[in-house]
Amino acid sequence: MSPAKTRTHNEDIDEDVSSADEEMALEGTEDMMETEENTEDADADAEEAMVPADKIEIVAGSSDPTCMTFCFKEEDHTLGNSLRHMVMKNPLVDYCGYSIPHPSEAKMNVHIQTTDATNAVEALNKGFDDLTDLCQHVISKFKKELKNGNFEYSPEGNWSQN
Amino acid sequence: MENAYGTLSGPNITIRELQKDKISFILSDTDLSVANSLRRVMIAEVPTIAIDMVEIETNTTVLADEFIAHRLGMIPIESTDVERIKYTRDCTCSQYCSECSVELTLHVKCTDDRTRDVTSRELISSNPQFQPVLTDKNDSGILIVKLRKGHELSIKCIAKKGVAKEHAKWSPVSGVAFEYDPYNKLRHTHYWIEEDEKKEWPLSKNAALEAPPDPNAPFDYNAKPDRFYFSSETVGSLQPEEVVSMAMKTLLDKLAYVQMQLKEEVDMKKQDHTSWGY
Ligand SMILES: [Zn+2]
Repeated sequence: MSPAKTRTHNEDIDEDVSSADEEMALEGTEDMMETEENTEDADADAEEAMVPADKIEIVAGSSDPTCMTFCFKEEDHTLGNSLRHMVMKNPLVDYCGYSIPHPSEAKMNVHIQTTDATNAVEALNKGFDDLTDLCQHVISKFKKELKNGNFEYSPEGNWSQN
Repeated sequence: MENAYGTLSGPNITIRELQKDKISFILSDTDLSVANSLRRVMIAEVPTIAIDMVEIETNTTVLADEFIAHRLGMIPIESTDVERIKYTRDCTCSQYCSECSVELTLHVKCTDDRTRDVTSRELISSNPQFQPVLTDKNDSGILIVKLRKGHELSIKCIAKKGVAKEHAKWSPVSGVAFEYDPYNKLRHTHYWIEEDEKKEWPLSKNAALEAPPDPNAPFDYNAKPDRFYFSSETVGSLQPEEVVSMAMKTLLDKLAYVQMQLKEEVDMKKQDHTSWGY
C-alpha cells in the first residue's frame, strides 16, 4: 500500500469516528464490539483516572522518619520484590519488606526501617537509584552481548519446520 | 556498576542461542527477585499492537460475531514500531485516531462451490508498519473462518497498543522458561516421588552448565541462587532480542515514573507540615 493512500484512508477514519455512533443507532445493522467485555474496560478506565492523584502514599503511622510504610498503587511483585532487594542491600537499612495485602486491590506496601544515619525516604530513593543503575547495566551488557555475537544464531529459526 | 556496596561487577548476560522466534540466555550474578522481575515484564508489560475493537458490517458466516472478534484479537501484529503509537488513554482523541490505533479491514465473499478459507493475510492494514505477522512469503496466514458459497464477511478492526497485564493478546511471548539451580542444591523444589528421585526426575539440560553437588557436603542454608536460565519464544509481533531490551526499558521507565511520584508525594507532605508551622 502506498503512503499517500494510507494518509487519505486515515482522514476517512477521523470523519467516521464522529458519525459512527449515529450511524449505529440509525441503521442498527452495524455491530460494534470489543474483543473483551465492555464492563471490564469501564472499570479499568475509572481506576486509571483515579491513580495519578497519588501513585504513592505515605501510610499514616508514627512520625518517625526512619520507619515508614509506602503504599504503591497499581504495582505488584515486579517492582515490589526487586525494590525490596535493592533497599535491603543498603547497609544503613535495618529492614525492608513488601506485601500485597489483598489480590483484588491493586496496592503494594513497602515498609522500611533504617538506622539513624539515614531515613526511610532517602533509603527508598537510593533503592530506586540502585535498581535503575542495575537495569541500565543489564541493558548495556545485553547490547554488548548481541553485538559480540558469540552465540548460536539462526535467523530462520524453526518457523518452516512446523 | 553495582560497586556501591563493594560487591560484584554487576549482573552478567550470556546469550546462548538466538533464532527468529526464540532466545535463550543466562542472567547471572544477580538476585532471584531481579531475574523474576525481568521474566514478569517480558510476559506482561512489554507493549505490542493487537486488535481491540471490531466493527462488523456483514457476517453471514457460520461463526458468531463475538467468536470472530475474539479470534481477530489473538492475531499477532508486527509491533517493532510500537513506540510510535500512543496509548489511547494518553491520546487527545475521544475514541481512536491514527496516532493511537491502526485500522485493519477485511472483506471476503465466497462465490465458489469450494470452501473458502479466510486468513490473517486478507486483513488490509491502514499502516504498513503494522501488518499481521507472516513468517515468510509462503506462510498461508492464520485461519480466521471458513466460508461456503454465499457466505460473506466484511469488517473493520481497530488495533491498539496495550500490555498483557490487561489482556494476554498483547503479550509478545508465548512463554518464558525460567530455571535456576538445576541440581536443586538449594532445596527450593520438593519433588514428589514414588521410589527414586534420580530416576523419576531426570536433570534438565541446564545441569550440564553447573558443577554437580558433592553428596557428602552439608546443606548450605546461606546459599542463594545467582544463575538464571531464560529461554523464550515469541508470538512474532516482536523479535526475541527486542522483547528482552524492551522489557528492561519498560522496567526503567516504570522506576523513573514511580520515583518521580515519590518525590511529589514527599514534597507535598513537606509543604503540609510547613503550613502547619512545624
Ligand atoms: Zn488517538
